[in-house]
Amino acid sequence: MLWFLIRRLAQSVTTLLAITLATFILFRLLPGGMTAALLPPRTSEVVKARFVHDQGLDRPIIVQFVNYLDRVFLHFDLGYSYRRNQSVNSILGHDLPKSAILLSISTLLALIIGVSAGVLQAWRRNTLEDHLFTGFAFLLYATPDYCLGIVLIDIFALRLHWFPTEGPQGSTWTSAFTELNHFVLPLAAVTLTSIAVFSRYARSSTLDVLGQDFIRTARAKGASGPRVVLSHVVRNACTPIITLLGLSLPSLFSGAILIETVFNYPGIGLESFNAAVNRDYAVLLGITVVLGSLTVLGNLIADLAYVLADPRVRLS
Amino acid sequence: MSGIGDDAGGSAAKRYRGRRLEITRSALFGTTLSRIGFGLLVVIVLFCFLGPHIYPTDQITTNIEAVLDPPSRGYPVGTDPNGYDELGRLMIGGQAALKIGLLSALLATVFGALYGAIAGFFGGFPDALMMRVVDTLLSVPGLLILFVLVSIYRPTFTLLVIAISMFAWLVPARLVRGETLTLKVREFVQAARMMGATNTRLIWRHVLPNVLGTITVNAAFQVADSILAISALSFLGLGEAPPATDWGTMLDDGVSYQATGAWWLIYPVGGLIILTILAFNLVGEGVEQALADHR
Repeated sequence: MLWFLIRRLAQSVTTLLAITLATFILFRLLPGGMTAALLPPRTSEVVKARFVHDQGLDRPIIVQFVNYLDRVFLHFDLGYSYRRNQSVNSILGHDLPKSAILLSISTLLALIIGVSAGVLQAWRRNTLEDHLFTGFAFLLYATPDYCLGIVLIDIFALRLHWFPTEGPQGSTWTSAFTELNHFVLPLAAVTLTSIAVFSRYARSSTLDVLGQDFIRTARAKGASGPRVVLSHVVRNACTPIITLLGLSLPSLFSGAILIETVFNYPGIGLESFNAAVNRDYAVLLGITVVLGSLTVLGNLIADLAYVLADPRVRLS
Repeated sequence: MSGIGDDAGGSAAKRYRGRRLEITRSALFGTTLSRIGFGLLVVIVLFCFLGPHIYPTDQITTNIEAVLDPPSRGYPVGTDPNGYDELGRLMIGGQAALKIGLLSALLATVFGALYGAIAGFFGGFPDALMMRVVDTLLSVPGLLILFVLVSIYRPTFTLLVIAISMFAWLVPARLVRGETLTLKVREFVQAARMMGATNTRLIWRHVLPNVLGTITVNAAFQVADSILAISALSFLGLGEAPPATDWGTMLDDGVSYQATGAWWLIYPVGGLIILTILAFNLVGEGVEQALADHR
């Protein structure tokens, strides 16, 4: 176990370094280089030269990279956005919790609904309900979350006036709860489109589990149907979903860009959209590094959780 | 190196090929799911590519006298903010989405499969290095990088195809590598190696044909994902410049006029995006089921 941990940690650190290196190089390859990227247009040559020197951009690239690593990972300083006149830390400190609250609540809801639906489907496999839900899941799976968001806005905001068209506009993440009626539609859009992934996985892994000997043993011991499902099936069917969760962070975030744009919800997705449109590379670089790190961390936790949840997994 | 096995068993090889053709046919059309998927696809492709010949419309010059007209006899799906006929626009928008989706999926699948096969086949340090590259790219939110690329360079057809394949090859690479790891220790590969087959031949003739099933299934899902990606990019205003268009751009236009109640600019195009993605997913799922039955 210890050896596995060490190896897995080493792997994560390498990936993290590679992400940083890749983004570092990518942003230096931009036309005009980092000065054009970070300074406002029409900056005088004197200021530019001063900036280049102060930022160490005239030093060898390897020194720059080491300095950058030192700044990001040892001092947690992601740089400064001259366009927003704010440190990237404070921008992300504002936005990240807002996206996190939207994505985590919707993922949790989707997980609960999806897994219960999948387990029930497997339990009553090949019945009409099973087929109907499979069809429904296929349709939801094919629906991009922003399409669903637009439809929800059209029906529930513009025509029925039940909910407002925009997401919560407050400056902190708590606005998700203080402006709950604003939060309902974005939450529904993300949740509904994520259900299908979980329900399909849960259905097929439950079918696998149901055919195994220990289920028959539990049945033979006289355990009731619901008891077998709750204490034996669900736990075993959940293991593949743990890995799925760990891997889904980048795609969740990509979805957040669109859904936050549709609902004008000022989280990290809308921030990166605006940063891309305004070519605010300091912010884009910061977001990429932070999200990359979160993904690496997520995968690491998922792998460990997988080992803990399923004692049959062999570490080799 | 094509001596020993190939000529001696000519008829056996023919029979083998016949059987493989049979498997392919039943994999593609054997399940209800894939038949529904293919049926949908045929309808969508005919609509987009044959449609403009049956229902020709002017999609170049704007028409200021027919702006945002609701569906009527003259305009079955209404008109858009520039006075273009929305039905005709749905057709040419679909062409762009389908072409970019199919091309980038093809590019990504071929590159990813080769990459994965090579990494898995050689193993050891090259494999570790190559897979770290994949892990790295998988940990970066692709849409964000696509954003940066497309916001710097003017989005053209070629750039969009390349940009989307850049993040699409990772999954096939991983899948093919995994299968190659188990294939390369199998007897028939070992036997071919004993007979003196080169590495290139082993990968080309013995590994890749055996991962074809996995590749096909993934390719179908990949097209769906690529169409999703191109629609997302153009929905955010990063698609090809007008008068060219695609479904994502059209949906974006529709959203701008959503508050005026122009439902015909949202529902038809949204429905087509969903149906197309659904069709490719159904094909992928169907082929996967058929292949599972064969094993």
